[in-house]
Amino acid sequence: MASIDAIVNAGPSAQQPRDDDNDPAEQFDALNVREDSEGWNDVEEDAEEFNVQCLFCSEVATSLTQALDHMKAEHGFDLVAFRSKHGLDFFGMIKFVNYVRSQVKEGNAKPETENPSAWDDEKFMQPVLEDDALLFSVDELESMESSGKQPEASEANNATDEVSKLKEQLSKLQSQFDVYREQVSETLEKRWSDAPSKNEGEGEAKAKRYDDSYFESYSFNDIHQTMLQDTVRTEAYRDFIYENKNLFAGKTVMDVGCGTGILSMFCAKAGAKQVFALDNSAIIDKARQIAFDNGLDKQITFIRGKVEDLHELPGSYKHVDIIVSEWMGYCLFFENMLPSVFCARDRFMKRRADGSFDGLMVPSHVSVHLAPLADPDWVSDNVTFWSDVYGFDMHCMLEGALEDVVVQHPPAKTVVGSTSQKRPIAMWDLHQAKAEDLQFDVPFEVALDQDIDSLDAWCTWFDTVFSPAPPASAGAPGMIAPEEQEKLSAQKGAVTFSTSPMTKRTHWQCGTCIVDRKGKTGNKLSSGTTIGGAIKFLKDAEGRGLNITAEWDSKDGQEKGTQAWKMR
Amino acid sequence: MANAANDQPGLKAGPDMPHSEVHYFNSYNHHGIHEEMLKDEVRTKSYRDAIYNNRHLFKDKVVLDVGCGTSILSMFAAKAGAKHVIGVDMSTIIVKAKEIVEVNGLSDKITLLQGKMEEVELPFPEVDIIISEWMGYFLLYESMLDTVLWARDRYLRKDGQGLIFPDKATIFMAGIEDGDYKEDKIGFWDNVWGFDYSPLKYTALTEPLVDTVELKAVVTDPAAVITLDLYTVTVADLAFKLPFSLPVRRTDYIHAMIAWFDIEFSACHKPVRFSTGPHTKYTHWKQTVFYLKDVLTVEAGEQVKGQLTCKPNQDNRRDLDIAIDYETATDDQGRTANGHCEYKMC
Repeated sequence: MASIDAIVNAGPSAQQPRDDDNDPAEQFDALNVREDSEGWNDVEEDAEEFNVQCLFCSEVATSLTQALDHMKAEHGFDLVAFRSKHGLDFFGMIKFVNYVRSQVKEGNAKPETENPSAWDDEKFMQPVLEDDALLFSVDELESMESSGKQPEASEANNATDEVSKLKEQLSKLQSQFDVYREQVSETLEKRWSDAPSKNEGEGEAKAKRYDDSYFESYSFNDIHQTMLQDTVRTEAYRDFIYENKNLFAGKTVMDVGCGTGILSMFCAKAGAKQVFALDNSAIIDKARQIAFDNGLDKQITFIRGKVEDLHELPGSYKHVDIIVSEWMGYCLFFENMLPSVFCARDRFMKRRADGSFDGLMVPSHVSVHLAPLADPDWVSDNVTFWSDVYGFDMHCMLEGALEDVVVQHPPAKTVVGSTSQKRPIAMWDLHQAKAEDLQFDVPFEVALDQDIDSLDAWCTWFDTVFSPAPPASAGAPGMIAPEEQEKLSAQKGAVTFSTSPMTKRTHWQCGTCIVDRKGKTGNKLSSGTTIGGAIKFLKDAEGRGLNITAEWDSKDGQEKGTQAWKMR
Repeated sequence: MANAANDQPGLKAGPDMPHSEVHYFNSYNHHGIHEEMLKDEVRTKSYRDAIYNNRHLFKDKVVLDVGCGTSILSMFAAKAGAKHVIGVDMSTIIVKAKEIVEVNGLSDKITLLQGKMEEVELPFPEVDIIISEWMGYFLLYESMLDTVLWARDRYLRKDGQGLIFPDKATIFMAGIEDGDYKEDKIGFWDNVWGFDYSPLKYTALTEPLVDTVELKAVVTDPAAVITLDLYTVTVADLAFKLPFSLPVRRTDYIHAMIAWFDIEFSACHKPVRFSTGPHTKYTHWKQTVFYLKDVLTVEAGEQVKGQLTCKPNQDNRRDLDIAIDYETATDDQGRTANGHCEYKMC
């Protein structure tokens, strides 16, 4: 391929725009040549040093016409007539020229010029002479014949002819580049198909998975866009606030971690008298501007800082009636922002005479779910993968990898069982819960609803409940029975959303805890098998991460394990 | 509130984290990013082919792998017959890399050093070949090229026989029709759940988007803007202001410019190249999309001319300040447009 590249790039034709499959460096040169208006070298300068060597002897002419005349006079060979006689195309001419030159070089002064099979060989795409000007002139030969004129005559032509000639060249070159491009892509395909990968067909699926994951939201705005475009999340807040305007009308609200201020604006639109919007990030400047643009700046006061550092409300305000916050992290408690919301609640929420809260937490309740997963495709893609990476054993890369909780939204079909009545394993009343309630250790039991080859992972997710009911009186527990969720969600005006694998994907996705089989395979388990155990969620030493520990065993004795995972 | 920038929380590569050096190196500690890179077949197979198909170049040579990661390139080089390979990486991934090299029986051929290229002590005074996978988004974002060039000047043999794999990198640009997605990404801020969010719109316009662009969205022919020859390029050359000219292929709108890069291993017997453009297979680099303030209306045969300016940010060299100037070359007064857009990759 390099030879074609050299031919195409070196000649005057290089001034044409070209596609990216060509040699990039050469193409850059070509681009410079084209930019003559910007003070780059003009292509015409090359033409001044035009030296054409005769096909048959060492005679060097300074123009194409001169060379053609020489060959006609000295060797009785008319290249223009020859070309038209054999109807040779661009590549045909290149092969012919190189064929003749190679024959002459080997001492054959009279190479075959009648039988096209003599030069019809790919090996003659390789130039014999370096910078062979004759090869660069193939286009010109074509135009000489089609216009029936010698170059001298065409130089005298008016500008219109010149333009049409250039246009013709352009279209020819474009088709030549198409051929070239095809060849390049063919060789590329060939190179790859030499060693077909077993993952070949999965390329697209993988690409999509990448799109969906890590780099998808990459920038400052993107976080907020992702959250705002998480319709499950944003609609739940909006629906609860707009459908319970009676609860918000005339009230004082605090929005903890307001971000772009969307929840504050919902509250203001729903009739809140005053909203205090807190955030410790620079986004708050944008939020202030947005509230102003939407005519809500009178109702919303933005405060930059940590809630822990806020000891007094602005103005004459002493208490708030409602605390709204979108504090949930991966696996619910990752990033551990809820204690900050509790701090705001304990410090500013209005209280009854008995000391219990007399205001509303929005959302009001959250719960954590657990289910068994079987996903052999994921395991082969992400676990087995490391045992043969381009011929190398990299299984040690897995050490530690299976200690991390994987954030993903697994396909619903990989969920192969559930708890009784699909209830959560733990639930909290946010009016009552304290920071220490968020570290928990609960028993669980799941039943498989299908036969599986192996238990591959435990999947956790959370539900969020927005209840309009006033908080319980003093002394109520922070953790409540999981079956409460059905009653709470059924109330008039209540809104619930789930981040489960069975419902629409949210930006939280789910937390998947892969069972580390240490290279061994798990046991087959049959539908109806119950697996019981206990699971613990503890914050890590730094405070923002999460450690999850589980131990489990099946009634039939086929499955048993204990493992710890980290979310960091 | 989950940090959505970061679907793999372990990577800690979200914008909430300061983009300090510490952050940069930490983000490579986690195995997830290595998995993504290794599974990028275009990338890994191109390196593999360039090395395995040129055993004659590697036989008995001393090879330096700059930013070796999991050491896959070092192992390719060792398998190709190198006398010795030195892999250098700042990240703790090198602990894993050592285990991998051991398991694959190449410990006597490969020396792995953890530390900064500028600070580690190599067991050889000079090397015959430098291999490195240093490319970042838009070629230069968070790229290690500075380090590769430092290693070249310090360690590559001086007699002109030294080789660099790869040795050529070219940035291309093209114009795309991207109405729907621009509406989704930029127009989105005009109406967010009933509110006007336009202050964020202007921020969004300054953030280049790393994403896959469909070939059918491409309205112009591509143009190469700059080619870096790794044998001669200097760190100073990485700040540039260069013209480009995009021939319009079909009558359409242009909402954005895109950029991508091609890589070449030209020392090979048969040159190995790969492209990260929209016309070829997916790579983890995808393409970089720069939305324009205007929507350009162009007709086939016209040219969109412009200038691409790129320089490392003064405060953090791994961030890039990019600017695109553009003008449509048309006689139609109603469609003439020109503008200047500034972007920041951080």
